[in-house]
Amino acid sequence: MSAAATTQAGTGTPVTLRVMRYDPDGDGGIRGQSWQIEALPGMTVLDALFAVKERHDGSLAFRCSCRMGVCGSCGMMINGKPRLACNTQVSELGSVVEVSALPNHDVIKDLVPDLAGTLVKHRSVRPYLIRRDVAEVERPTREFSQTPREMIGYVQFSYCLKCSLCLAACPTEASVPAFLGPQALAQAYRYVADTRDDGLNERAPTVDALHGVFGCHLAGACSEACPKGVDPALAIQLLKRALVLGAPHRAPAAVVGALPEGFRTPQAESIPKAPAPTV
Amino acid sequence: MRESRLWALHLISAVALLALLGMHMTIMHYESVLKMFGAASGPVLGFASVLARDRSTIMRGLYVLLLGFALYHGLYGARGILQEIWSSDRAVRVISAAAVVFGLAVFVYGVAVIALAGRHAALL
Repeated sequence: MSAAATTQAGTGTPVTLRVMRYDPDGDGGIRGQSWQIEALPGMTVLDALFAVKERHDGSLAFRCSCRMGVCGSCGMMINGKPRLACNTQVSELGSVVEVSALPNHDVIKDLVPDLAGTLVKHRSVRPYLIRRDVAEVERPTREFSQTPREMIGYVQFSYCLKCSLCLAACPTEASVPAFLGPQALAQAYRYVADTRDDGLNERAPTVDALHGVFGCHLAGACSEACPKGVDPALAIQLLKRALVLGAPHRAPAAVVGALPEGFRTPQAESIPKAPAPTV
Repeated sequence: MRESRLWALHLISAVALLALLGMHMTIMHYESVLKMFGAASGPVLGFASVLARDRSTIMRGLYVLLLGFALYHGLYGARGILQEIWSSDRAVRVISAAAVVFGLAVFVYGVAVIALAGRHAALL
């Protein structure tokens, strides 16, 4: 059940790291396993997991990539709260650190959640610019310009890492799997609020539904869990308002017109061809 | 109909219920409040008072509005709760249809009762 070991002899604070493990090739049950580690200053929970993996149990599975709170890969439950392991200092957590996989997700192994459901919901809200000038989107000739003031209307919601911590925290997600969830809904609003986007009506069939924005119970747990301050609960309320009153930017996105005479496009025949190789 | 329109109507019905229930409570249960404004018109639960209200087109109109808004508000909320318990597509359709049928049936019955009461009151 429990294996106790010390990671290394050092001057750090002794901390018990308890991990709830699941082996898909085993008996299918979840078991707890504990290790004693020396928590050094600056040590994150991800560092602690690496220490265990390197020195005690190489079979311990967890997901990570950037180790700096940018990629969102290492989301897990740490002392009862969904957090990024690379962004959580062991010294903040007391003498016992309990780690388990994200709830509201299937578990692939140990601390690795299956994020396929999150990404399916994310894709369902069409998280990209939807515009009337399709030809320009397909073969752009120049940028879709936007003022810094217009960008402020949505930039907070564009910080989403897709780490799925908000879905793990959401009580509605726990009881109603059909609920789209805070991550997808916040991303829907991120594009609806973008002045370059005209896709509110295209997204409406997905988000304007009982299991879309109207499934939210306003618990606010998603906003509390978000490591990047995206505030999905706010985005959901703003999306409700947009669905009733229209997108926050009343004017449709400006269509990119033809280039003035004399400008070249990447497809223009006037672009000289590369010279023949000399070697 | 899009869910956002149903939800907007839910909010509108909530505001309307505040006004209509406020009027109902003031007229029927807070006679002392009406007295403060010098508007008390005798025992509100007396037979003559009930007949007078039933004869009034405005009062009958308010009864219909109160019935309609209360039914919509209550059934929309009940539908939301039930659809979280049974969230399959089929269950959602069945619950929505049942709410519409039940709401319409009760509304028609209530309007008929209000109209009949008005007709009888006019004869007395």
